Amino acid sequence: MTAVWRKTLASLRRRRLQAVIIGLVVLLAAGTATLALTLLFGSTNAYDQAFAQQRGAHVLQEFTGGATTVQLAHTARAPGVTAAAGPWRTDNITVEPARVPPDERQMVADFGPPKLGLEVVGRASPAGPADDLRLVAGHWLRSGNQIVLTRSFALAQSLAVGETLNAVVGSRRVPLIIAGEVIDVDEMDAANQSPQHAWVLPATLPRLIGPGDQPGYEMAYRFRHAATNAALRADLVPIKALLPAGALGFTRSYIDVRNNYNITSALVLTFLLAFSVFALGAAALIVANIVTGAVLAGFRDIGIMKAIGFTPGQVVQMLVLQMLVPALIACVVGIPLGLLLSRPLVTQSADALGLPPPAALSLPAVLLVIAGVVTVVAVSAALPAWRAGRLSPVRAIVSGTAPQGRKAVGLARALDRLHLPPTVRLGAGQAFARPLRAGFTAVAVLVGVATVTFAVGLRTTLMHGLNDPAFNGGDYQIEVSRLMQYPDARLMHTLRAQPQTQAIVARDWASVQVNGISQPVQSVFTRGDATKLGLRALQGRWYAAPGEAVAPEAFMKEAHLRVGDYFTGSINGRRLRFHLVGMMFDTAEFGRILYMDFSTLHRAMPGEVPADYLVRLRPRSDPTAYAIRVNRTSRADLTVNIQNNTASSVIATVNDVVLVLALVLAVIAAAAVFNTVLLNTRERVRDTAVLKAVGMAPRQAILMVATSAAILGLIGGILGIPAGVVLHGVILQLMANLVGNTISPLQYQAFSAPLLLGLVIAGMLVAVLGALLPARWAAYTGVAEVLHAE
Amino acid sequence: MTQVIELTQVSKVYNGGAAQTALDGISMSVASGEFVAVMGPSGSGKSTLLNMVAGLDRPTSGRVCVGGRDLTGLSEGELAKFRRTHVGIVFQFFHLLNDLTVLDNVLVAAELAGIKRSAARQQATALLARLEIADKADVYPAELSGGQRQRVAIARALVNRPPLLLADEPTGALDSRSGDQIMELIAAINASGQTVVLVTHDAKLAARHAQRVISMSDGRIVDDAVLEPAAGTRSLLTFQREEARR
Repeated sequence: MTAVWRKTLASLRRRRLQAVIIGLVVLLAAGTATLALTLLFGSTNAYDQAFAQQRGAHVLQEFTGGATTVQLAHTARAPGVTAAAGPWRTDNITVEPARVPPDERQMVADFGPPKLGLEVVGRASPAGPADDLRLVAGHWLRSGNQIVLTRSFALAQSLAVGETLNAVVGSRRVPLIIAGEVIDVDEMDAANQSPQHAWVLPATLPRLIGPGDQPGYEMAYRFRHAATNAALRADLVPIKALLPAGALGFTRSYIDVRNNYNITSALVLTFLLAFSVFALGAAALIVANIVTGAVLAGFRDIGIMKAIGFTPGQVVQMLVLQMLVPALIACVVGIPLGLLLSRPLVTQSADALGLPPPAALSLPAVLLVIAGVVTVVAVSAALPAWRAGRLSPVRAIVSGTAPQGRKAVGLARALDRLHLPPTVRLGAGQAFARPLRAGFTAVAVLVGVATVTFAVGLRTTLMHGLNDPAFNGGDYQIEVSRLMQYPDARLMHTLRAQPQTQAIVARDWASVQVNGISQPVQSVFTRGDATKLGLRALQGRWYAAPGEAVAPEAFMKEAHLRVGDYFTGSINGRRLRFHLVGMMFDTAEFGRILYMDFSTLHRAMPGEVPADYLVRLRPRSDPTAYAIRVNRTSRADLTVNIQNNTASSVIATVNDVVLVLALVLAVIAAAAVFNTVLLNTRERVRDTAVLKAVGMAPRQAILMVATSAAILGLIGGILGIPAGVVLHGVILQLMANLVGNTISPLQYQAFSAPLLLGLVIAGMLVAVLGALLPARWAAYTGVAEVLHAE
Repeated sequence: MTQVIELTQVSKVYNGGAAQTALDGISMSVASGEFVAVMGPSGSGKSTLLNMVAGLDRPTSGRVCVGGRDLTGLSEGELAKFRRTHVGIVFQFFHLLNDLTVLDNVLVAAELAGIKRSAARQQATALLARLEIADKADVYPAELSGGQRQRVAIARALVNRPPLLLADEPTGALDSRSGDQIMELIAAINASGQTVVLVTHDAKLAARHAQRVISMSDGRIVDDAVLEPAAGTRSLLTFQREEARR
């Protein structure tokens, strides 16, 4: 064993507690970083992998009536198209599961069998030059009474291969047996896209078209240039030119689908990466702090080491190794822990796309984490260790410890004027006895407080968003859908007849072709006062007249519009002039959506009637009883759903991840304070003993040490809160932008004065908590023992 | 005469590895106003004895009474309160707080005792003047000579007007001239009525200033002598034996 190793191991044995602190902090940082990097390497490319394997469509384009199959087939040879599949005939149908699960029998008795919407596609084969469907259960269609579903839909509705779905066609029911389940990379999962695609043989489709249905066509395209949505819009221009006006219907871009698949991973990943950087930063501060402390406390030892022949390099090496050994041991625990925690998220991503689960060990992630930890720890230890390497042996041996700065004294004297108790004044002086150490600690507390502030703010904002109708799609308790044959007027009469009904807003969807935008914009048309559901514009006002519209930021950006601007477009081939009167918040279609009054739709499609009816009930009404009553008026033609505004899985996941990470950083901050107070306490053990000798009681000693920590906590807290508030604003804006919206600070409603004050106090409490152990140690160490040792 | 210190069968055993007896059944008393020197070679237990009297350490067995209070049953907090008002301690290596000025070093002891700041300041300033270091009130200990530092330590020990002054080798870290000055000062303090217990291994020093010398070896008192310069030295044990015979 070399002299350096011998001294390193001996020092580690002497500084076991500090080794444990470094180990704990590095463990948390390494675990978080492993989790983030494994997710980065494992899940974000899962979609791209599946997309490539299945020759996914860059654009899945719907066509309304007006274009012939010959014209549509011709678009496969449009400039820029590298592959195309279709045209396939499509229709929106409603199906009822024939089997009733035992736990849903009561619900079926009350409401009738559930009615599920599907966009059924007539397609002969799952394979093709584009939009290849990956069969994951059962088999492809063999006869006319079979249907193939997406696995996501089958899972969401608890349907299995071999079960029967009854398609509702007017008053008839057409039985369809589920033949298989597929993964379709060209649509989002059932939680985010409804209706889902389902496939029947082309010959079966005409049997499913009911009275009033408007069947259309669909084609899948792959393009030469498809990196951005702008490129895709440009790709569609020549296709549009080959077809009659108004033929282009809804467009689904693979970028939107990919974003949707990756949104949870992307959000979680953003936070994980940011937090790993924070955690590693905090670890660097703690390591630098410990090494600085070791150098200050071990002046004499270092002098002796140099006197007996250690080179400056060996002294630095010894101090760096003292930090690296516990850090590497922490990696051995932290990395497998991170890998283990990343497993569900990575597997979930792969599983949703029908890909085999990725390898449990992500070698690039592991190597990067080890390299990162070693670099951060070595560099942060080497800088203060370098000072030790340069020490004059004679000076070190003679002085025994590093001289303290006088800034602390200045502060103590300033506090003196406040007539504070001597213990508090002495504690304040201790806090700044080592200004660099105090700075490191305050920064660690700052990071902890900032992240907790951010996490609390995010949670509050998201919860506020869930409860604010302007952000959650409206405050209504009942949603009624009717089959086409059931008259609108009759349903309105039924709803109005219910004494619990407070407001009814009926709605329908249609594509609007906006001039200057190649792809049609999915639009919502409401009948009745939508503001009675709490919907409101965040900027400008809500629409009140035909032709007026509100939209989220993504649409406004794409169309280069501002609130107050006029624009032109067409609905169903009819040219109209619109007035953008307000900006709203809506994450549907990533903010590429328009909201208008039903009268606007009537101008283009006079016979159109709404499909859905949103009902806001009077306070203290029973939504279930209401739903049962309405449903009983026509079980066959109505679907009544009770609205449940609970947190989406994305919001819940983000909330949980952020909260856990904030707690991790709070623990790291507490560890930093613990470490600093421990160093200060050990360094000042003689002073504390002298104070105790002249009459300082143990309680006063604890108060003195706690004061020194509380002051650092207060400073970290006061600086950390604005940092957390700013971080909250930036991240929230980024999150809103990810889903095509914008949000102003006035709308966060996350922080109140008592909450901020509470967070400052929490920062101080974390610091005091970290100081308690060393404070007790200082209070109860024997005076005689310490002074004798001195 | 009132007994300021009364030790009854006090033993102290340290249990680090092999048990080590620092005090072995010591019984002694010190009367009010006495100047007692405790002497003995290194490791004889004299500093441990002083720590027991100061309430800085607890006996393994036996009873320690100072100023009429039994210290053995007191909690750490109660011992701290006792030290504030009953004893002043002067250490060999001064043990001043280096980041406080001379005045603050003295003030801190007064403030811990609960003396109002203005009164404490007045008292501390007067003491520093008496000890001839008033001009150093605003400087830091690092800027003082050894003798000056020890004067500050004495001022700190006396600021709360304790009935008992305990000095553990107060001249051990000083040159002979400074040492003499400090001892003159302690003698003067004793002359004004203060009880002093001095731990030293310097026989000359003890003989010159103390009225009574307790000699220790291996944790035991081996001699307890009253020094009477005019009539010669007579061992206290001998005196007690003679008294008993009478």
